[in-house]
Amino acid sequence: MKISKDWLLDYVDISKHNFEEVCELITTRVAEIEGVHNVSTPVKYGVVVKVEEVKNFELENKKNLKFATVFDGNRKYTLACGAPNLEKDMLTVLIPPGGYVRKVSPIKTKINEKEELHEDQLADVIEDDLEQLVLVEIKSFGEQKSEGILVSEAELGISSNHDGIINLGLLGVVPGDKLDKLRLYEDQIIEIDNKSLTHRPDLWSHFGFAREISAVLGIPLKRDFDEVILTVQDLLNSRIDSSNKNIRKIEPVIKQNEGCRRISVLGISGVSDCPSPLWMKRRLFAVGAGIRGILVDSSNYVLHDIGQPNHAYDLSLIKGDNLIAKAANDSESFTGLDTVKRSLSKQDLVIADSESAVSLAGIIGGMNSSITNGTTDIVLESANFDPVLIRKGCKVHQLRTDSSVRFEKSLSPYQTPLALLRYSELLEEAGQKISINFYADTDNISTNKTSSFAHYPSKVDFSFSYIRTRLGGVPETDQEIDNILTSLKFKISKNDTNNLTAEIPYYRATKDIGIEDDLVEEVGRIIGYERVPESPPYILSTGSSRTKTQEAEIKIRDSLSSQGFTEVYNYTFSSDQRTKDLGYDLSNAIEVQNPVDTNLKIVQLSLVPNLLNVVSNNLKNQSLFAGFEIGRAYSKKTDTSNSKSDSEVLETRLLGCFMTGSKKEKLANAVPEVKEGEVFYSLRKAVSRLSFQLTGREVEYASFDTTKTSEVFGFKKWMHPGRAAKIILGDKVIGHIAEVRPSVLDTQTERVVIAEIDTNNLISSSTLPNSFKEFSKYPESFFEISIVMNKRVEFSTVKTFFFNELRSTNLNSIDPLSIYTGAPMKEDQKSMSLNFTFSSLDRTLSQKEVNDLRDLVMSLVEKGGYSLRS
Amino acid sequence: MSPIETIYNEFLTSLGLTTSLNSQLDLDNLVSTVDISKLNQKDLETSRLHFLGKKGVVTDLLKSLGKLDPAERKTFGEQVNTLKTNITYILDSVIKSLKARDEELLLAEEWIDVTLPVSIAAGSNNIGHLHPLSQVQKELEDIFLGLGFDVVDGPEVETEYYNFEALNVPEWHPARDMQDTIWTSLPGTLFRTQTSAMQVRAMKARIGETEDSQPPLRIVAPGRCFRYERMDATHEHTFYQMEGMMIDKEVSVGHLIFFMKNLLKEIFGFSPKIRLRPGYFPFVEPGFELDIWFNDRWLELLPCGLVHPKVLEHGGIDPKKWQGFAFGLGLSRLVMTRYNITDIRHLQAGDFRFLNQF
Repeated sequence: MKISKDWLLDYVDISKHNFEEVCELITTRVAEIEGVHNVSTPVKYGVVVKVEEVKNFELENKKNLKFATVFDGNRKYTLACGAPNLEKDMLTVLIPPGGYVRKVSPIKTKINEKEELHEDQLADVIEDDLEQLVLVEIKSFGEQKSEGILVSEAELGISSNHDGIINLGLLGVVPGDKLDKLRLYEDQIIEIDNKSLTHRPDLWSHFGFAREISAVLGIPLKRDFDEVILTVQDLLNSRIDSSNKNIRKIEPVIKQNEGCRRISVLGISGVSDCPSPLWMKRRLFAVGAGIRGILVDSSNYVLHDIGQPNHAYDLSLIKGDNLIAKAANDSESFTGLDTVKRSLSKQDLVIADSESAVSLAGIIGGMNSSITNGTTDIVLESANFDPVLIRKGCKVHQLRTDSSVRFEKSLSPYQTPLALLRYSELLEEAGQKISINFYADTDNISTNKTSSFAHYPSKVDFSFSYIRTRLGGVPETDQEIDNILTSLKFKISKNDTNNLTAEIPYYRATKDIGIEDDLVEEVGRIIGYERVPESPPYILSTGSSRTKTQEAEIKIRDSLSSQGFTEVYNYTFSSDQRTKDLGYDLSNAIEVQNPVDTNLKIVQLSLVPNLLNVVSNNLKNQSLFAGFEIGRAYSKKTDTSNSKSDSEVLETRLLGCFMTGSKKEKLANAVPEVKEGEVFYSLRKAVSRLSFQLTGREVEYASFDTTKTSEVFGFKKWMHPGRAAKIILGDKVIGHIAEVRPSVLDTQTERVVIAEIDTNNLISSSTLPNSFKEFSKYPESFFEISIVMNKRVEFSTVKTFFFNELRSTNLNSIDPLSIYTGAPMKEDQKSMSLNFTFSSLDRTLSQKEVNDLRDLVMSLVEKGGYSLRS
Repeated sequence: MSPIETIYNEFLTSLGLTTSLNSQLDLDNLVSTVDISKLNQKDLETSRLHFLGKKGVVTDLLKSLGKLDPAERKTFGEQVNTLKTNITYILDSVIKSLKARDEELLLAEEWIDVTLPVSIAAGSNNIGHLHPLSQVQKELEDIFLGLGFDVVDGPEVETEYYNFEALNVPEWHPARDMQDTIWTSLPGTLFRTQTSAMQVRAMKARIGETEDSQPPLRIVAPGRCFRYERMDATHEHTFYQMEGMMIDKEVSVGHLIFFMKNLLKEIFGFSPKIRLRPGYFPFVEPGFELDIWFNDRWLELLPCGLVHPKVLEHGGIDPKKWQGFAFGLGLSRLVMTRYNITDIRHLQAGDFRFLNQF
């Protein structure tokens, strides 16, 4: 929101204060200032002149140019001017050589005042938007010299109007006058961060800021509306011109109590919608409001002046004798002043005449009753609406206005008649010969008919000591606290020293102030938090810790980074199509209602889809890399019956890791099988290490039943069926690891292996103690046997078979030594050399025992479906 | 037989289909009857040239259209186009099946023993790197652990209650505008917009009736947050915060200032000049923005304040007996400041050229 310094000066005299310091105080005591801008309003160079002579000027390419002689009361100037409205005898503004004019650029209009907070964004660089001023110099047109420029409103910074030069016709100035006669001054604009005003309905206006500045600086208000707020009604009544009996009176009616709290209306006749005074235009322009004619401009002016939205209707276009706040009819059609036609419903609150809606309450007025050039009688409405209703309306109709922004902050219903008063004052100031015909209101303070105010607390109990404790011991005296609250217009009454009551000023009772702690803030900010003495909090040192999951995640990071993996962070969102294509069942996927990216419509069910994107993106720059992500996946809970949680969402904590390797470069000395699966085995090793570091136990791997795809860690479509395995800890499948199908990544040259593990399983398993197993002090005995089997028999099958058969022996371990394929074995066969190790806890095995064991093993080969290699 | 029928039959025959001119099968069913075992990709590409290439037979038919009279041209033209579309569709589908088959053949070929113990050199020849956010987060956690704070953790897909209502932000409160929310399709479930969502969760998790389960309570809650943002160099829809909260007896603004000064000293390695100014957050009262003097100007660093009595009540804590302060650190922002990262999007892009610098 924009606040004009010139405008503030109407209410509080800060001219003797350093303006920078005032702004600093606003920031530290009131609300955040985003920036202070000098408005390029070169009014001080301007002087009123009379056009004495206009001559056509013939120049090849400047057909429209004329030459004028103007008089400033002292001397004459001759200058070139292209304005279509240049006329002999007109009064206008000259900027003589040496002065400046505002460079007129294409008009920028801010349509929507949107509150934005980017909390995590680097602090904005404060922009200095001082628009460029252009130096006025003596110019030559052939023999003719042009001394200065006659200016448009745009060139003076009064409005965006650049259609012609300013005509000062009837404004009571004479040649030689400076522009301060027209109340045109230099100005500065304070840009307030809207988010810091969310809780302060009273600060959405110049008077509101003046009121705060007055309290902060301890200087009185030049004009204080609060003092008359309860007598405005009487004042309005006293100004009614009862002589005109022919005027129709409009009575406000509230039919829907929920949304509307008060309506005040004022009937004014004798108006005409001429251009507003230059000073009013300039102020409205400076705070970013549009400029139309005096009847609408005054309405906007009042909004920025005292923060009360209001709306002027052409009385002749209002049907019947009432303005009624009520629910709209279903499918009622309504065209707003923005010319957009909207379809209303019963949820919408409107102000209606006897026939139809004349405004969408608190948001926008209607075209059907709007001010026109011919308007002579108006009815001005100033009302108070429920903030929630206004917000809902804005959301439904996708429209936010200066009015709705204020109403949604919860304005005080006390101030509605004040807007009527200010509006009529402005018309009079602008020289309109108006008469006030009627004033009507749904509330009446003098007759105590004030239903709308009952919504809000009027008092808050507090104690000086509570405030002082919260502020670390300041202010030291009760008197100072009392003074501060009084300066903020709280009325303090003492029940006893430690039991007081503060009557909340009307403009802050609607939402902002309600509890004692709110007074702590009031006192704290006015004294300035720099006065609060810092003191160490008393902390009884107890053992503090991370959660087990967080500890585990730190260990995972340490383990994998030490093994050469780089950590990546991915998004939680993922593509539904991609996830489905990779083989995941979307039936329990959670959808994003308003996705930030139309490709990212679901919450990820697994880290794999996004990790695959990371892999393919990085493959564009390099071929060999390894990485991991610790992340979370979410799905709908399928079984909520025995869950204590209040959410229908199942969160899974996952680790995903990946590794790439070239198909060409193979480990030099590895056996063929290892060469083939180099990347797979490398990642598998990292997973094994990691798991051991976390749980103290070794994980195992087993191939998949590739038809079981529905399990969380079952076989998925993205996997290479011949290179995929479950990861098993104890008897639980905790993850899977697999090479990625070439077609998934569209790479023919690299192999990519991905593993995904549920990290919660690594944590819960880690609580199981590992008990020490005694080992033999005697030398081990071993022998080697080569057996032939089908190529696709897994080592684990062979090992399990022999371990089962040799249960009763002293078998220690079976290790593969080498694998061989090729002649003389058949195409589908391989030979595996196995080392069998035996040991006894109490002795060295004799040679005979070893020989017997060897014979036993050889005799078992056939039983296992294998054969001995000859 | 019309030239169109002739060509179509020729095409179908080339795929090993008996002429099925009168067949009622739609194209997908037709494709499914093709026996791809006898086909290969190369032959099909040749076939494509023969029928659809620049000098292909279908193209010839199209060229011949010009000679026909207008009425005939229209009907015949449509038929040729249908022929062309059908042949293209069938060829594409069959080639797709072939590719899938070839992949299956390759995959069937490439079996490894996933259970085989192998001895293999280091898993990766690279030096591993931790994400800068992880590094900074851990550092901060360690500082807080030293200050007697527990590190806690909560869901990123959060309920509306914990993210808003429990924090004194009812529905339709204008403060909801301060944070554009990303919602899930489940009612009342959203992507948390702030780690402050952990405040009442942490209170509820710790606070009970017994003596042991009363405050003091000191926690930090780091984690991922989300907001509906259009992305650019300084805006991300996914970012990281760390919420801190301390609840004890007689907690004052003075305690908060002391604590924040010491914390910032630990974070920055020096004592920055700070100031508190009013800031509005519905879950604290009073609420502040804490600025630090940095590079000759005030830099908005973090929001903080005394915990609002209503929030304490939501957490089952009696605000008459206990008070607290809370603050929110922007982890993403700290990381960017520390490492001079000017584009926030790097943090989530997963690019190793970025990640391997940390």
